[in-house]
Amino acid sequence: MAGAEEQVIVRFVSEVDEYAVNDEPLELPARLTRYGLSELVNHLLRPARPVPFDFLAGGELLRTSLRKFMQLRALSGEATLELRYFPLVGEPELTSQQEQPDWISALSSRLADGLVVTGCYDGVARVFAPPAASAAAQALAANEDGHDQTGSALCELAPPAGAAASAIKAATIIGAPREGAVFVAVGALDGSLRLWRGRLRAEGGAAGVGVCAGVCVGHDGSVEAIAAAGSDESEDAWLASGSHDGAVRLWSVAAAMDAADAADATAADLAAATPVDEGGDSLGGGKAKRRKGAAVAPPPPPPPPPPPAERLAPRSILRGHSQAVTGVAWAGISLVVSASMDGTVRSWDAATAQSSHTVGGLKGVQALALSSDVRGGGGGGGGGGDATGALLAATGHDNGLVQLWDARARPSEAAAARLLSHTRWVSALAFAPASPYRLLSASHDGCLKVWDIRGKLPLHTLGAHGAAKVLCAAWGGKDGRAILSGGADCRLLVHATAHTEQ
Amino acid sequence: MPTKAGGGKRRRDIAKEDGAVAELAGEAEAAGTAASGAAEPGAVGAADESDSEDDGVRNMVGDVPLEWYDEYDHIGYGLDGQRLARPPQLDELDALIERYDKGNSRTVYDALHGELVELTDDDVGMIRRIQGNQYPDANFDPYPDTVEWVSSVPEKEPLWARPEPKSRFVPSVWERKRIVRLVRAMRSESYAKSQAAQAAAKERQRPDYNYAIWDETLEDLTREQRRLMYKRLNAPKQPPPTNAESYNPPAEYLLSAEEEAEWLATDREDRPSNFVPRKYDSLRRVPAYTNLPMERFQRCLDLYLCPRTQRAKLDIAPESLLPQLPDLSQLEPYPKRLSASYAADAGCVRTLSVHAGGQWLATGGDDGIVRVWEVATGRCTLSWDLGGVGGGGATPDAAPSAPRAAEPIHRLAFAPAADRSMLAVSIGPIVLLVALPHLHPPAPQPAQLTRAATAAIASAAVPSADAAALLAPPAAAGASVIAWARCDVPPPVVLAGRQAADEPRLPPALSIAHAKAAKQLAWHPRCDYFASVVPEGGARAVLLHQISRRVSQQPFAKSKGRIESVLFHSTRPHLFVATQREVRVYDLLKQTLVKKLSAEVQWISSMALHPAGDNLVVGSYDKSVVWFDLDLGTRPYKALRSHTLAVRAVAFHSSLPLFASASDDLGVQVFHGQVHDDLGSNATIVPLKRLEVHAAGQAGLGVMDCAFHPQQPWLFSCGADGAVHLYT
Repeated sequence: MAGAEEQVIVRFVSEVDEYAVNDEPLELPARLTRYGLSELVNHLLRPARPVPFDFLAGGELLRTSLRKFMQLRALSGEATLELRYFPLVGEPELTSQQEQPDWISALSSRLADGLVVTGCYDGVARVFAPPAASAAAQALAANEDGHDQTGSALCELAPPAGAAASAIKAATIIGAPREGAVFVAVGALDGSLRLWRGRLRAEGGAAGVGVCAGVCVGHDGSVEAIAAAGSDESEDAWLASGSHDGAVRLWSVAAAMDAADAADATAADLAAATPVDEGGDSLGGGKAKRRKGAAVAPPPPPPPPPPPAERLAPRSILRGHSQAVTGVAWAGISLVVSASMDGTVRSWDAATAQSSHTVGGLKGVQALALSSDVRGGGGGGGGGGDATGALLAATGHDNGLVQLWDARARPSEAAAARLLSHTRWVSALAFAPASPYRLLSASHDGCLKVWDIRGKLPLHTLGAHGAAKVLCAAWGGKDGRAILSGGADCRLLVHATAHTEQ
Repeated sequence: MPTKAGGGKRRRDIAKEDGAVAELAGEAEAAGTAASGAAEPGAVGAADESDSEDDGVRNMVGDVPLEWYDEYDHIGYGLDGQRLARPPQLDELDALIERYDKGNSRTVYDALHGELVELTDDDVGMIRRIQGNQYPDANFDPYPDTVEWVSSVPEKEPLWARPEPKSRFVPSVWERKRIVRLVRAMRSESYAKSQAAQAAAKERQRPDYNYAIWDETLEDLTREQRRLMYKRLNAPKQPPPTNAESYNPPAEYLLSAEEEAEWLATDREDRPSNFVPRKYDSLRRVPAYTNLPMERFQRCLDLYLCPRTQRAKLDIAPESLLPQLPDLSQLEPYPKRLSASYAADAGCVRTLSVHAGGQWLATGGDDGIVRVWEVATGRCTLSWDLGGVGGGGATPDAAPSAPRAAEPIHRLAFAPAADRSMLAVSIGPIVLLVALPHLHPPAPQPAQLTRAATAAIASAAVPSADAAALLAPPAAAGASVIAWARCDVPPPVVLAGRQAADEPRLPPALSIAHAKAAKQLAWHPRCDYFASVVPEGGARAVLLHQISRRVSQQPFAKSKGRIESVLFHSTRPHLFVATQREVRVYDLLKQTLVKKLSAEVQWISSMALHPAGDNLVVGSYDKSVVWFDLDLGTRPYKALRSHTLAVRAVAFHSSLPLFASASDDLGVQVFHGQVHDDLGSNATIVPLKRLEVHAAGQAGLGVMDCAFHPQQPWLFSCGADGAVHLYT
């Protein structure tokens, strides 16, 4: 036939057994794109409900026609092209949203139990347990105004009324909840880094309050990033904090946590007959503070003055960045990765406080994320062995660029890929715990984007924040499939992604 | 010889009877004089001979010089050998008488016979014909009728009827043989050889001028290269003729009467064409070209006057003359695009200042509110209404009781050290000095730590001067030219976090009351001094304020003209003072004028100093930005005219080779300004990017101020439209 179409020999390989088809080579028209291929596979499979598939050719997501792909890769038309396919990542759905009094600037979640801590510009950190996606969707449907009543804070962590509270820039949960209380590290704009012990709200009660378990002293600028390391089982708990003064400080907080637990137990013993609140004074001002949110109603007697919060000194100070540190992350228990506005990403040996590797470019880094399979044990709270696989870091920059760095390569060749879709400042990045390839990015252009780093285009763009700046984003939920985000519209949004493989 | 001369003179005198005859004699004498001296009598004698042929020559001496007979009484010999007696010589008187007696008779002296001969009319006629280059004989006919003795016309009856011989019709055998012989010779090898030899000999003999006699390498050149060495001056290429040059041009090419009058009125050199198009019916009617003589003449003038030097034609592309700009991608990083906007409904934002730590941005404008923004998130963390303070006039410490119209903030400036969060604000006639301690938390003292301070802590805890503490001591009375006073300002509204209830209000600010509004503030790098500029202040236009002593000084005793801006040098104790036209550099220690830079602009608006301190950028209200290299003298190194309206502000980056200018044309222009370390090369200035985001404000104001981030390649600008932008 004169108008014979160009043909490409293709072999389909499924990454999921459920969707496997015959892997004999097929001859397909070269004009087919992802959609056509997906239809074809569905035609072969005849599932009960059509499943959209995504195709991986040569380690890259197929986003063009087969012909163009072959042209770009300079592949021969006679060679068999192996297409690996897996179900397409579905569009995340907005499942819950929650108003907070001020801009939400910090967000951290713990996958093991689904706890989320948010830091606000009003100086209050709040701990939530977002409901499961299905329950939240029902709740969202039930509420006319869309406000989720079930998502109220489990506890609120703030200096007592009357004391100064600076805007929060970073917050993270340390370890698993113990004895109904959770430990949260909160870094603020005024350079304070406080360790809070927050008693979680009892079922049906009011939000619990927090006791300052320790004040980490030493920052010479605002605290821009915090990361926690340490497993639930291990005795030790470590914090890394990045400050605007350009230093990364490492803190060992296990002793302070144990002391706070002990103090709480003592107070509980003292108030065996009449339960008293937990209270704490952040700065040791000595003034009696009014407590709120007692778990039980009877009129409390005047509480004993709480012990002043312990002041902690950094175990080591990692100096090497010339400008503000905007992101820190742990890779295992002994490796700290930090990113700075001077454009470099450094990895540090936590034991020796020496910089072991440096990659970087010209543009200052505003956000940092490490690939989940090297973060150690999977998840923010998880501890475990050192980084073994590829150390892949993603950095967000002020021009909307998301840059991936391969830390194994030499510094001149470390730039792995450039993901360019945001139009403004990238404020937060997070690799999905469920997949090492999925990346979440948040930007001041008001968009959240979900990427598969094997492709150059974002999988999904979530514009639920409107034009407001998104300041923080994280993967959350017990299964690590929820997308949490907060920003200048004072709303904490939860998107749920469908359960997909890969 | 005297005799001869005397004789000659005598003959001349005698011959003066008739004009024509005298001429003839003169000519004859002249001819004789021109010839050799011995020939002279002979010449006369020859004339006599011709005469004697007619009359008969009696003296038969022949052609000998007649002075041979001067010593004898005879003059020669006759035909028979008898002596011819010398005729009697007339003396002068007799000669005169005889001349009068003879009247108009024409006589010629016959030297051969020694007598006067009277010329007849025929003689005179013959002489006249000879003079007129005609035949002497009047009857001679030079063009007689031809007599055809043998006619070319065949006669009917010829004299003889012999037939044409056969040889006239037959090819000549001998000629054929001769031709054959020649052809054979030409075909022969020897002939070709001889021809070649002849040609070679000719070629050898031909002189070859095609070489440069002093060029030793010439032998290596090809013939074509040699030809090219001698450049011909080609005639300039003429454009092809147009329709207007046709003898019958279309009507539209003809000039109208006015056009022709105009053509005639214009100067010859200025005419668009050197002819007036004329229309003729046919080529036959085209008259002679009247301009030809003049054009030939002009051409000759051109050739005569034109310089004979051959000027090499410049075959240069215009683009190649432009300086080579480096690839802009090599000059990164530099601010390229709008990255964030700090929005407040503030009216015209006149000024901005970036905290030295790079985390905070303060803006102030017409509404009298100082706003402090967090740079990274765009959060307004502090809003501070100072509008009521500035209206206090001369008594700023009087508490403002009634609400007044807000005074605009003219200028604000953070102290240039990261650990001193002091802000100087010029509002109304007052300069306020306030501390913002919460922008930079005081570092904790090691003693406050409950745990043992590790070595790391000790190195980390840099004792930092608390800005609030700096402001706390009371004012020292004394040498200050104007009073410092404590000033109760309304508390700022903190918009991020919350303040402690028992936290003291902002420490009382210090106010320095100026006579008029201070339009510019400049901090000394060490933060103890700052300068304020009151352009209308006369002698007190520049004031230096020392914070530690609470003293204001007046550096200049008298007015130096309207002063627009001042700057402290980054390392040396120099003060840059910009008046309207020039920048003066003073040494503050020696109290001398170091340098006077002529900006060559009409009105300086602002200036900025390169962090190394050797280069100065001056912006002016007449659109230009001027770069001074202080080592290169007092004139500008470069003037950059990238703006179309007044330049309001210029700024240098503190570490990167960047500078920027903000203008009323709504644009902010970013330049690359690399200063090289070696003294041999001048600064490299490359325009990088023009950022046009601002909208037009009131009264034609555009972008009012710009400043760089202290570390990042970020640029801030504020404009009359109320917007504050960050470009990254």
